[in-house]
Amino acid sequence: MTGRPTFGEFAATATRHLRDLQLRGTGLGDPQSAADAVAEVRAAVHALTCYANDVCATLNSADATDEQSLRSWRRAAVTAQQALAAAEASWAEPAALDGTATSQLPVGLPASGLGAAARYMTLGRDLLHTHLTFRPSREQSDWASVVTSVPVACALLELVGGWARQVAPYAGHFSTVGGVAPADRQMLNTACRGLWIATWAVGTAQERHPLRNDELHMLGTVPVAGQPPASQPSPRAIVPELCDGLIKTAERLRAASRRAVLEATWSQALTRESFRQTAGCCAITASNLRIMLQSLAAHHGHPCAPVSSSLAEAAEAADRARAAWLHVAEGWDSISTDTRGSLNPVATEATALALWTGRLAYASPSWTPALGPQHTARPSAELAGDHNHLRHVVDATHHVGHTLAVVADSERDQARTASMHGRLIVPTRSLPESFNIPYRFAPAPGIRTTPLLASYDQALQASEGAVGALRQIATEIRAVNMSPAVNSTAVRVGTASAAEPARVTSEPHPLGSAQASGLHAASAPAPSAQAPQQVPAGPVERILLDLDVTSRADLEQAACLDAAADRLILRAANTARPSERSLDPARSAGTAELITRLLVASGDTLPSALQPGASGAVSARRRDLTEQPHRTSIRPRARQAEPEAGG
Amino acid sequence: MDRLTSAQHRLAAAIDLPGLLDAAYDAFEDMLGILRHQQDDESAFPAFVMAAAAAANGRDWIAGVEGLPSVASRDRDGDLSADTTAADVAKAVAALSREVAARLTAVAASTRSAGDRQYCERAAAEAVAITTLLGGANSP
Repeated sequence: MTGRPTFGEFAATATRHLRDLQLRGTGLGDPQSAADAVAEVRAAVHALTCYANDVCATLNSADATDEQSLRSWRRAAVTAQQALAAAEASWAEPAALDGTATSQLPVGLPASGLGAAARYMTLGRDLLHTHLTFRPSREQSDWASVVTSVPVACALLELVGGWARQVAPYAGHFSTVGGVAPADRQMLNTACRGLWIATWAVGTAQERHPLRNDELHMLGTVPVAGQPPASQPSPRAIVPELCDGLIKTAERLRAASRRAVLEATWSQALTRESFRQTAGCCAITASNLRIMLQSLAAHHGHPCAPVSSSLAEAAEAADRARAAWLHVAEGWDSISTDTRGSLNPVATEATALALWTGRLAYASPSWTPALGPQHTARPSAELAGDHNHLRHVVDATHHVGHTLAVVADSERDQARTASMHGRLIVPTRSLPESFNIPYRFAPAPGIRTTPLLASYDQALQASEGAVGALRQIATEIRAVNMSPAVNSTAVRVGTASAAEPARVTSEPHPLGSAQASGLHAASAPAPSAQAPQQVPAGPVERILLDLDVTSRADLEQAACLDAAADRLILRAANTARPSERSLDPARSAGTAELITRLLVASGDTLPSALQPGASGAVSARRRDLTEQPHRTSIRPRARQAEPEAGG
Repeated sequence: MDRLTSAQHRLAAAIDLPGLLDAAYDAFEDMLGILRHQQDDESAFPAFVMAAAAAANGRDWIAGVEGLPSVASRDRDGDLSADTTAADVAKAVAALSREVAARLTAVAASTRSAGDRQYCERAAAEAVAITTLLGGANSP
């Protein structure tokens, strides 16, 4: 949409690398060195921990503490963050103990594998943070409120859960192969445990309060901070191209407006020409918006018919915005500025936006504000031939409405600042003779500036009214690419209906398959006393799901195989006699996953032989490992022991 | 419309710099007034809004010229609300702006002060912008 890299692209690439690991079977097919592999797992855990920290910060600062859905997601975030942080913290200990630093991820972007996935996870997080780097001399990003919104935080957490679920088997399996130092082996197990806990915690939240598809989509559409390039509409542009160009121009205008506020006290480009042109172009833009909405409202067939009344209301709201902006323009008829002659970027972009909206609203491919042959409105069938086109156009109108509100706010601030600094003037000739001022210009009296500033308030109010009306339409037709500020306020967590869960969608997802993996994890929530427990998919079934197998017969066969394995393990555990030499059955990711699944399947009546941490012998041996000053002396024994029951 | 006609007559009758600047200032004011009055016409709305901004800019450039009398020479007369169409208004304003641009361009060329010359040129440019915006009124 903006032509810039989006978070969804990085997330999808990270997920693709993780899926590639899974498709290679155990994920250990290539002859990677042990040290590099350990470093990769560590990098992935670190990236996920950072994400979890971000999510926790957002959810903990959210106001809506009374929402049950938010509480679920907040609990999941805290659990995941603690588990991942613990995994990462424990990793640092061996390096400190034996004085050897754990190997670091190689410099550069690995071509594939977990290292590449971790790097793309980090890049994705860096992208989100480009919107949060605020300096006094720099305007705040348009997307900052979206990035720190609750819906995006929850979507991010769901993604973290999905990634954790993909990383965990890799880490767990790697802990069982040779070449890994005992300390790293132990840390891999700890990491694996933390990853699974994070997966289950997120899965529980997702199970109880699934996110809406638009909430998930919103995260993927967050672009890197910056501005799209300036562009002019081509006479051959079709409606979708006009919508895209309009959205980009609107974003440029919003950015320019916010920047202009910061420069209002000194900018030489703060001129009467800029103010007048901006106000006039905003009035024209609002007028074009009204014409578009009227055309759509008058359409009596599909797809506009169900929302025609809302479209008519939005058209009226746009007309009120037009009148309010016109009032602003008239306010500038009798006021000037101390600098003149140049146009600032706000005026330039406002002119461009008027042109883009005019090209969309009118049928003429060469429409300009200049008077010419009678322009006819673009037919609604052309604007919104089907539901997708309608959503795209409504999306674009959203951006326009939101932008008008942003510009009203920033222009008012600029005018107020200019007034406070004596930068608003009037021709002496326009004042009554009683003023007797021996200069050609005089400071603008309050009787002129006060109505001007008040007119901006009205323009802001009217523009926000239009945004509200457009939001109503977007809600009715489920437009998903609304403007940033609209997104951050319109989307609420936990309102998804069971009939429309996030995973049911035919549209390409901006996160690629990342969400799909995350959602699969979400279908395997941790056991809970509050909700009916669902047995997680077994390893065979899960692999098939990860391979996007949809055949019901194949999935049922996989589930049968998993169930048969469960029965075999349970039967063996019930007849087994605990011995001092038995190993902890949940000591690795592979076995821990199976034990957890059995725990759920057996209704918390797991045989004592399978209880996690039940083996006194193993606990004692771990103590020996950590307290042994010369651990290398027992490494061969540990190396032999671990693969025996490794997953 | 009467006011536009009157402004055009005054402009044509101006023989010295103060008189011309006075007439040009008032002409911009008159164009601004009638454009604001007729701007709600849907088909002409964008052009009238932009032309009104240009008229205000042109007037303010003239206001900066040294030779402009500090007090208007006389009250402007004529009616703004005659029963005319937007197209008629556009034609009349375009004609007046064309005249203003021509006179100001000529004055700028003969003015000694660089500042005044620049102001007159900028005001003329605004008048040309009005002509460009409204000149298409003759199109079908």
